Amino acid sequence: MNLEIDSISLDYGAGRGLDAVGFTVAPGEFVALVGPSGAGKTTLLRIIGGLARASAGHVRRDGVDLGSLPARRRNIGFVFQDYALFPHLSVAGNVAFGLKVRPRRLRPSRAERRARVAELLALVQVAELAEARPATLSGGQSQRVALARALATDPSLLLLDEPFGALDPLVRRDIRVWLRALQQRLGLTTVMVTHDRQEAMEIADRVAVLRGGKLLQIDTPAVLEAAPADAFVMRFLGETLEFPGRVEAGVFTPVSSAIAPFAAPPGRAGEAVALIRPWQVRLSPAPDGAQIDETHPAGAFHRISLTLPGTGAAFEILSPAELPTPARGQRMRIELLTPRLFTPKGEPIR
Amino acid sequence: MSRVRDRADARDWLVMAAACAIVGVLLIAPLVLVFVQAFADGWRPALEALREPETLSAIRLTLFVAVIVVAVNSVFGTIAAWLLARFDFRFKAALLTLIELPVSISPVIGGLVWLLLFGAQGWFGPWCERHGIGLMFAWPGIVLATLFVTFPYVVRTALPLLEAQGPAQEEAAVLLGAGWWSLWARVILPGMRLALLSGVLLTTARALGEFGAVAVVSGHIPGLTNTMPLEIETLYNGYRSTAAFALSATLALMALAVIALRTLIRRAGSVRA
Amino acid sequence: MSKENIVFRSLPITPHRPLLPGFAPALGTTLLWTGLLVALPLSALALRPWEHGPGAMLHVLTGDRVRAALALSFGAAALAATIALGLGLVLAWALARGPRSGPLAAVRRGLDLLIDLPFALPTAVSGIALATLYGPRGWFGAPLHELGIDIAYTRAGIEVALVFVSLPFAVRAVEPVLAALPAAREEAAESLGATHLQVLARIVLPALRPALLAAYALAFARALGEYGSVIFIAGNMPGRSEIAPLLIVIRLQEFDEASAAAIGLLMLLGAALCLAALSAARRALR
Repeated sequence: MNLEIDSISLDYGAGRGLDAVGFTVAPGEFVALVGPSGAGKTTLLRIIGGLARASAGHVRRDGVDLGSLPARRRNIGFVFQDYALFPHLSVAGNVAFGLKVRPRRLRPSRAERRARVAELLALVQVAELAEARPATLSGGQSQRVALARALATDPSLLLLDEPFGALDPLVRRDIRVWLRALQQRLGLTTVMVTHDRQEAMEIADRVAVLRGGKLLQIDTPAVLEAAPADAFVMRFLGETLEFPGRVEAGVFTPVSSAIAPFAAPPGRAGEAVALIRPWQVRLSPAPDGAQIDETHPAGAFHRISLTLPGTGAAFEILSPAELPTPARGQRMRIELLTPRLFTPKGEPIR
Repeated sequence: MSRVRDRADARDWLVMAAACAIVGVLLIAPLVLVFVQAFADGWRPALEALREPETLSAIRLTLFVAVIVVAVNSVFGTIAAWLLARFDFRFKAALLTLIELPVSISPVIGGLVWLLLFGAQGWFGPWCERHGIGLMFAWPGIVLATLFVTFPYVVRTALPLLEAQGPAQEEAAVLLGAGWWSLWARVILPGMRLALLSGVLLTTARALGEFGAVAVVSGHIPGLTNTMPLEIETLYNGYRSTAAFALSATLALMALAVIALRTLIRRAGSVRA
Repeated sequence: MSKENIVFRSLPITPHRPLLPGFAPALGTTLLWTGLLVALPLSALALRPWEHGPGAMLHVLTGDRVRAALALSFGAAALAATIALGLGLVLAWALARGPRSGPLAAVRRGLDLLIDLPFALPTAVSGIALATLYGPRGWFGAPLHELGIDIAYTRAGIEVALVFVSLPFAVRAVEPVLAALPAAREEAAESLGATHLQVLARIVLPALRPALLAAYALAFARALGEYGSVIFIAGNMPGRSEIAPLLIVIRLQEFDEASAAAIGLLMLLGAALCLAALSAARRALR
């Protein structure tokens, strides 16, 4: 199933809302919507689901406009942030709900419904909870039940609103891996909203970055990382170090002499800033380099605190744990391995 | 002065003693008096007073009116509460004020307004008279007055709950294909059943005991248009103290039982939540 | 796009306004219900006093008996609300700050149940109970009569009944706010050397101001309109102990609907004023 978001706009006033957001989701693709709060990601998800109305633009499924179709006829699976399980129904009752409310001639028989519920609960690995009440479930269990409920009607599209938001970090990771596997097995076209950029990068085929109601970039995690559309996207997607400098005659010269100059795209000149991830640097001893203040082991890395000579700016880098760690007080020159250059306004220099 | 303390100090004893004194003198004494007066001459006169035809008729009328009023105001109150909790629309604040208004104004006005509409000199009075429709000084007037006075209670109890619950469950149901009917029968009503019951009981208690509004429109015909509170007034003003207090005790027991049930339900609800 | 967006454009559309089915029928039903049961009757109250001209209405409201009844009702309600507020503060304190364990905790829970008694008790029942209790031969009335104090059939009797009915409103408006006040502020004041009374006067009461206003407005509105529990104990002497709601009833018995409506309209305005104060207090509480 192909989903097309065609320049969706919504105006709440006060600069909130959505501004001509458009992209397409390929059949079976998993797209994550990320952005700071107020970016409009949940609003967009609700518009796709038919829970909110756009003031302009279209949502099309396989070329058919969903605009006039009420939410109940869209056959979309939706998992809410706090699951929105029906507290007065058992787990089985929750999962069977979508089958039970069908018009009589489309409604599966009781036996068929029971079989389908059992199948779904087995699929989400909570078969033993069929008779439990939602209030007695843990966060992870509620999550699975909510997913089973959303899948019961064989939806053509799965929408997830912060599906891991209420889970504790340990369960979060497990259920994320499991969800991704399930989504791939079922081949479900999926759109997920999350505020957790790392989660988005790990789970999604493509990630859409929104800010202030605008779509900044939608790409695979690798492309987002390698060629962010602007400095905001780069900063938003992970820990970032920034080094100001100038581009002149195809070379970027950092303000600090402790950082090695590197080649820049030709034909551009002026102020610029180099952004990198903290692990994309290499240190080599040099008398006029940055001073090592402290080192700490941090998993597969060493976290190294440095101070630049001159400006006195302090920052931290990550150096692979297998490399020898420099001693405190040592001076090191910093080489930026895969720097991305932006103008002071945040536009990319390519 | 932290909120959670294990030991009570002198100040606590002082405040609690004052509170008990206020409640005892002002609130409990009148209640105890009702029952003492009812049985002042023993059980027999009290029970006999309750078996008089006028008294039985008053009890029947009161229950009849309460059933109609509770049914009507519960249905409409539930719909109104859902509307106010789930949608924004123009003049919503004005509508809410209008719904809340009847609790803040005198019950006498709750009766007066119906006379102004349907009384002999009322807007629709002459028309009703020509067509032989007698609303005032008969049970329909009593129903209208009680409807007005108990108007907001269901909305008042259901609205905060619906607002706290949020729309997600209902949205989930709609996305699963639920239509208007399934939405109400399977999600909205089951989800608010405790609050709804609480509002229904509150409406019942008020409807049973309503006096001022009903006094204006009833016509005070013993055995015909006297509800229990009006019959109490008639008996008391006729110096039939034992009968008046026996009926008072009955009415008080009914109202207090309804309120006690409501308290139990609220407790059960808050324990679950 | 749709018509709805044009109609509602002037409204600030809240984020995530749900698109649930059934808005139109729910709105229609609610408007019909509210219109027939509240708006239509109240518009009769608002319009009918003027049917013989503003002069006639003014004449009704400036009559000695009406003026006395209105003055009594508003004055007695103001005093009763003040007393209820004072007593209610003590009760609210006992409920919100009372001990949560030990023997007093049970007392606190008992009080919690009993506070709403006047609200639950039918007013005719409390009316005859209070009249008997404070009457010349009643449990409280007889000893007080020995001391030369008469309560039933005087203004004091009216106050007793009004305080009785308005007390739960005062308590329930203050109690949750008092319970929610952060303890740290009072502890800070005490650590700075403030006495208990200073903490109460300078920290607690100022923080309670909106709640106290709400409590007063609620208690006043209830006392102003009260009928059933007052008329048995009031004496009902025209010009002296006749409250405005009773005068409405009397005018109606005389088939003088226009006069009754005029008095009723004035009392409605009093209640509306209370509601306005209440919503101001609620805004301040937020």
